[in-house]
This record gives sequence, C-alpha cells and structure tokens, in this order.
Amino acid sequence: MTLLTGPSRGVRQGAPRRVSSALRPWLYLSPLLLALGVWIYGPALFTLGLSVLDWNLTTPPTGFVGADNFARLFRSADFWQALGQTLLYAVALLPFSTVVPLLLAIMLWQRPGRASTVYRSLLFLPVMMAPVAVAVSWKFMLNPLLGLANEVVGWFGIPPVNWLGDPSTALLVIVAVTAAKVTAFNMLLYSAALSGLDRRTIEAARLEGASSWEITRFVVAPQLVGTTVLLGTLSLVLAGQWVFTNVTVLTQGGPDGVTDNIYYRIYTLGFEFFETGTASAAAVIVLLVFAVAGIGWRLVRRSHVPR
Amino acid sequence: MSRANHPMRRFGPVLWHTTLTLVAVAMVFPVLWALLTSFKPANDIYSVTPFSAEPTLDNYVRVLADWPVLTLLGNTFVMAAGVAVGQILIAVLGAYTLVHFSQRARGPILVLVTISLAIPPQALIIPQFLMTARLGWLNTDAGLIVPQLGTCALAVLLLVQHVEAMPRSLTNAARLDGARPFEVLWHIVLPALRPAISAVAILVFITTWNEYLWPLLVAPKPEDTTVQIGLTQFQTAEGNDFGGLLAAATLTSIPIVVVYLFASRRITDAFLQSGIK
Amino acid sequence: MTITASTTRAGSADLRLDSLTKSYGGTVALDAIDLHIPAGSLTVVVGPSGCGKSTILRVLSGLEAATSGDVYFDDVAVTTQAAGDRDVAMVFQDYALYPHMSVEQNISFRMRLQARHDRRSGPSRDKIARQVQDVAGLLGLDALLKRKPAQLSGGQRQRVALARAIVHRPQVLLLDEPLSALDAQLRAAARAELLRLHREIESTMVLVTHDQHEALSMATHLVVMDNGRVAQSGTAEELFRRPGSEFVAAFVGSPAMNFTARPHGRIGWRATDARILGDADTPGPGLLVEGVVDVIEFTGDSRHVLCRADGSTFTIVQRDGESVPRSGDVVRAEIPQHQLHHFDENGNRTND
Repeated sequence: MTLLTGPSRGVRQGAPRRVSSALRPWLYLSPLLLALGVWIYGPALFTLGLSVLDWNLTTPPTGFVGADNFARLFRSADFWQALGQTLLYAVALLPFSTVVPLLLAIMLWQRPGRASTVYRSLLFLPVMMAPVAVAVSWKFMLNPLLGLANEVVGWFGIPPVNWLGDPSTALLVIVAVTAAKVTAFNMLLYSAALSGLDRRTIEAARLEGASSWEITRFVVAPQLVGTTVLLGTLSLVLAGQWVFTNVTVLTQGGPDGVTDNIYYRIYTLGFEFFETGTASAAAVIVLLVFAVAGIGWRLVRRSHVPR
Repeated sequence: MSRANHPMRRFGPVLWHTTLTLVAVAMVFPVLWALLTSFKPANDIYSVTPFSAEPTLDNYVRVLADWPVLTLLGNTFVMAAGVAVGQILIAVLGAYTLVHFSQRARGPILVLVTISLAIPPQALIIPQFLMTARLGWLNTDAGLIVPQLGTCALAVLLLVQHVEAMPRSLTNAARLDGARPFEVLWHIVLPALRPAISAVAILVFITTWNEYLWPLLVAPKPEDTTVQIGLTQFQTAEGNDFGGLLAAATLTSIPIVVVYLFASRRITDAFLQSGIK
Repeated sequence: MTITASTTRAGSADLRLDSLTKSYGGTVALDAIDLHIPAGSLTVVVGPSGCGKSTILRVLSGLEAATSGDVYFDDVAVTTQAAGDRDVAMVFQDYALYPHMSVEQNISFRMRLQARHDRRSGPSRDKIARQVQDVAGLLGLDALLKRKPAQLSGGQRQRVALARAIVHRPQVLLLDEPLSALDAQLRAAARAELLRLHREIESTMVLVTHDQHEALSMATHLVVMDNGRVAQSGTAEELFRRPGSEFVAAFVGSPAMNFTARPHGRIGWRATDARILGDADTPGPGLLVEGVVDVIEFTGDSRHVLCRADGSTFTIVQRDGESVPRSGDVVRAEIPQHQLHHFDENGNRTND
C-alpha cells in the first residue's frame, strides 16, 4: 500500500519495527471514511438508483422504470412551481446574505468597544436560537385574529392581514423570518474578514487624505470581494434549504404552494405521499444543479487569478 | 484601543446607535415576546402590552406537569452530545492522519469532505431513513446520532486547518523522543488542539440541538423525540394553547442560551481564527 | 555558570552516509553523498541556503527516509529504523519545546515514554528524576523546572532544548542552527557553552549552521556542502589552509578570499596574507596586485581596505601600525608564493 506512507519508513526492505505503522493511517481514517461513505455518499448513490425505480417504501420495489419518475415529475405543475419558488427564495435572500450583513459588520467594526460587543452578541442571537422555537413564536404573533402583528398594523389603520394564509404575504413572511438568521450568521463571517484586514492599508490611505467614503470604497471593499462572492454563491445555492424549517412549521408549503420549494417538495413527495421514485428524481435534479454550480465555481476560480 | 487609531467613522454616533438598536431589537424581538407572553394568563395571551396585569407561572406549571420536558431535554441532549463527541472523534483522528501521514491520499479525501458539505440533506434523507429503519434504529438514540455523524465535514475542515498550523518541529521532536503515532497525537497534538476542539464541539452541539428534519423522520413518537419536534407536536395536540407552547419554547431554550452565554467568545474566536478563503 | 561532571556516560557513535540520495519529488536535496562523521567529534556542516545541510540532519535522525543509499551508526545500517529507535537526539531551530508541559516534563518526556513502553526494564521514576536533576544542574536550569516554555527567555529555552536532548545521553546529538535564534551578545557565550558541552558529554555532535565563522570556531570536523554535494570535509584548519575548490575557498574565511584571473583558471589569496608595498619596496616572488582604494572599513584591530582593479575588487586586511592608504590612492600589494591557492577552470585546486 504505497498510497499512504508512514513518515520514516525507508523505501526498501529491512524489517520495520512495527508492521502496523503502515496500517495505522487507514485505521485512523476509517471512522471518517465510514461516516462519509455510509451516510453521505452511499445514500447519494442510492438516491440516484431510487430515482429510476418504482417503489413506495412499503412493498419491495417492482422494477426499473427508467425515466418514468422524471417524466412524471416534469409533468407536475407543482414541481415547476417549487423550482420557481426556489429561485425566488434565492434572489430574495441574497441581499440579506451580502449587503445587509456587510453593512452591519462594518458598522460594528468602526467603533470597537463595549457597546459594539453588546450589539454583536445581540445580533448573533438568532443563530443560537432554536429555529423551531423562533418559528413557533412567529406563528403565535402572526395569528390573523389576535396576533401581535395585526394589532400593531392596526395602529396604522391597516386592516388585519392573514399573514400565513394569504398567498401574497406568506412568502414574505418566510423570507423575513429566515433573513434574520442568515443576516446574523453572515454578519459574523464579515466581521471575521474585517478583523483580518491589514489596518496599515487603511492608515496609509488616511495619511494620503482619503475620506471615509473613499477608504470604504477603495481600500476595504475590494478586500471583501472574495467573502462576498462566497457568501452570495452559498446563498443562491442554499436559500431553499435555509427556509425549510420555517416552511414546515409555519406554512407547510402553502397556501396554494406559494411557499413551497424544491427541498420541501422532496420531503413531501417522499414522506407524505411516499412517492420515493419521484422524490428521488427531484433530488437527483437538485444534485445535478449543485454539480453544475460546483464545476462552474471551480472554473471561475481557476480563471480568476488570486491576489 | 485608541480612537485616533481607528480607521473610519462614517456614521455619526446617533445614527450608529439607532440603526444597531433597531436591528438588534428586530433580531431579538420574537424571542423576547415569546418570553414575555409565557408569563401571561390564558385570557391575556394576545394582549399587546408587554407585561400582563397578572403575571403568572401557570403556563410553566402546566408544561412541566403535562409535557415530558425532562425526557425531551434529555433526548435532545443525548443526541446533541453524541453527535458532537462522535464528530470530534472522527475529525481529530481524520485531521491528524490526513496532515501527518497521508500525503497522497490527502487531496482526494479533502475534496470528498468538502463536496459533502454541498450535498443537500433532502437529497439523502430517503436512503438514510431506509437504512436507519433497516438497522432497527428508528426511535432510538443510535438512529438519531449515528447518521448525523456524516455531516462531520465542517469539523474535519476546521481541525485540519488547526493541525496544519502546528509547527512540524513539535511533532518531529515527539517522534524523535520515541513517541509512537498515537502517543504523538495524545501527548502533543491534542493539547494544542484543545481550544479548537471545544469550539467545534460547541458549534456541533448547538447545530445538532437545533436540528429539525432528521429527528422528525427518525423519532416522531412523542416520548422518544427531541425538543424541536416536541414543540411542534405540543402545538397540534393542545390546539391554541400558545401560552403553554411559548413557556415550553422558553424552557427548552434555556440550555442553549446558557451555553451561548458561556461560549460565545469561544465560538466567534473559532470562526475568526479559521478565516474564510 | 559552570558545567559540572556528569555521572553516566553512554558513548558515541561513528556515523556514515553511504551513497545517500534524498530527493523531494523532482528536486534532489542530497546527491549520492558519501560522508563520514567520526565518533565523538563536533562536526559542523556548513554551506549556503539550499545546500542540503538540514536534509542531512533529517536523514541522520530518521525523521525522513533516504531515497536511496544507507545510513550507518557504528557500521550498523539504520536506514530503515524509525526516528525514535535510533538513539539520536536533536535540538531544533525553533527549539520545539512542548508548550503545554513544564520544563521538567519537557526534559523527561522521552524517558517517561520509555518507561511506559517497557514497564519491566524501562527507567524507573527515581532514575528519571535523578537524570533530570543532573542535566538541569549541568545547564543551570534548576530554578526553572516548574516553568512553562512561554515564561522563558530565548537563551533559557535553548538550554531546555539542549537538556531535553542530552538527558538520556544519546549517542548522537544533532543541532539545527542552534545559535541563529539568539542575539549577537548571547551567541558568543552560547558557542563557548556548546564547546564545553561537547567536552562534557561523549555524544557525537553534528551541528548545522550557515555561519562560517561559527563553523570554523567550533568544529573538530568540518563539512562544507554545496548543492547537495559534499564540497570538502576535514578539520577546520585543513579547509582553511588548503581549500580543495574555489567554492570552499570563497566560503570559508572572512573576509572572503580574493581571486585574480589567470589564463587557465584563477589564483586565490587571503586578505590577511597580502602586504601593502610602500613606494620604495620591491616585490618579491609571489603575486603582485595593484588597484585603487575604494572604501576603508575600520574594525578596531585592523583595517579592511577594499580596492578596485580592472572591473573587479579585492580586499586587503591591514594591521595597525602600517601606513594608512586613503580612498583614491593607488595601492600595490604582494602575496608570498606559498600562500597562493591555484585553481583550474573547473574551480578545483591544482597546487599542493
């Protein structure tokens, strides 16, 4: 096994003291490889396989149906709606992944001190709170008849809104509730990036008489481009996943499928309708999209010469 | 830190404080309101005033009496701790070996690890569920913990960075002192990794504590489930008892808030030190 | 601080590298080297960066395996032996003290491991404590045993690294640029301590440095390396008086050797062997050089006179008392025949 070599083994013969010095690396790696193989990559392949079978989880699979599952999927309007919604979520959450947390992080970074620390802790709280607890609290506040939300809008003379039951507002609500957590998390990442900046570049700019705005624009911002691109991409790709818990607790994909997305669809297809074949087909499509995005990402990075 | 040293002051203090306060309030508000409402009697639940005229602990009493709080908390704790410990073990052994022993296998394995981060869980849950059921692990701790060990990618990547950051001369010195590979790990590498390990452990613990999808699938029964699922079931069973529900939500948030208060520094430091490429 | 006598001695090993090659991917760090390091010597391996001197240490220690060739300790091939099994100790350039352990724990680590590996015949706790005490006394660390490395100064850390290396009386002691992390003041004192240490313990010491001054002053055996090959090895005096190649001639000695071109090769001569001629002096047999004084450096007990001639430069070291040239003066100097070093076109020595 020449793939892994212990650090001081000669390339030739001579009885090594402990034979296991070559085995051991594999031993230590086995938990990792097992975990990944059995619970991630195995299932991934399984899903690929499932997508071409006809199986409803309770009786043994009845056979290979090729692309039938995919066909059925493409024929269902729900699927296309869910796909479109996924895109909508991606776009809607993008500013909350990039612009908003960036501004907040910059603000906090400008005035380091106790106040800043307090704000930072408070602003980070949504990340720590259990998503279900938060969702449930919102459900309570958004109750159309008695909830706090309608009370408050009532003060401004607006009639009560059926937040979760009205197709025109349900999506907004989901986005808003999810945005809080996303903003909080990304704000932390931007803060990390900012603290890694070389202060001297800013001081140098200052000595040259640059104004605060110019410093932000020409010195700080360019150094944050990498982080922004990363977070933006992650947001576009993962937005649908981030809203999952909120959708499940608050709207269950409704009303009229307005808050549905491809991930939720997979879940309902698989575990409410037991159409594992179709669900897996949808999952395969998602995997394909990811693969394409990943390769595209790789190509972009390779062509973009690093600083 | 001297004021003069600070690079920029774009926003005036008033604007600064106002904006941040508003955002902070927006972030904290739902939780705060839930907390306040949990102390209100049933007839007052929907009132707009923050504090009720007759604050009461009724909701809490009811929750503690009728709801298996301790069981749920216990289940969730076992799951979160189990996954945290498991992932740390996997990550420590893996990171050490990848950095010090596997020059050639390292690249491909890290690629596999990184890609696993991008795979959406919903794409995997069906087979994962089937396997768990096959193993007879539905509604068990094993079923909750073991499959979630697969998401160890973040732990592995963070620890690999920290192991790489250790000066090679330290492990070389230990090898020269006659330490066998495991002894090098135990006596030299682990002590150096202690802060990173605790940060990662806390992170994984909290993330797992908040996990919703997997426990929903694997342990839906009220007695065996975790807090997150329990909260939603509570709601269905009790209909509109939001007071009780919010009290339950508050109660079950306490452990995490406590952990957060103690560990927020550690967590943010772990992220800050790792840097983002 | 005096180095006091030790109680146990464990001997030293004769080291040999036989046709040893070490390459990293495409780069060859050591090119089929044959090297002999005498038992009990203080061998200094010196050379410019990238010459392979640190690689020699790594291969000797067993931290890295040779690509081909053999390593012998006392005629026993240890080429495939693991680092911990070779009875070799090393002082690393950054000292590599275990940060979470106290000085005492750092020093005793190896022996504690031995005790654990071999419960029956490994060192007892008493023995470990005694030897730690001995070596702490030897290096003046008694007061620092409980401290952690972070609380020590650079010089103290160096001594702990030394203590850790010699506590078990290894047959071979390797030192990787042990003085480069110290500031100039400490360096001279540390050099003397290393020499005293060598006298005290019996181990074969192999020291790597890029500083030729250190090399000359400490070595009982000197090895000059160039690009993965041994340029020359021998005593310091040999290498100084009879450098085998232009490379060694230029590397060893400060100021560097001067060279004068000749039809087939060059002649080398030392700045200190030249004598500036007065206007009335007649040159004797030997080399006559002439040039214009450029810069004069005063070093306290001598002057370094840098001169220019035909597009090249040379340096003459002039002791006090002789007449002082000034910048711009034309100067003539002669170097006696027997102090000239002749080199051919390939840079190899041609005279005896």
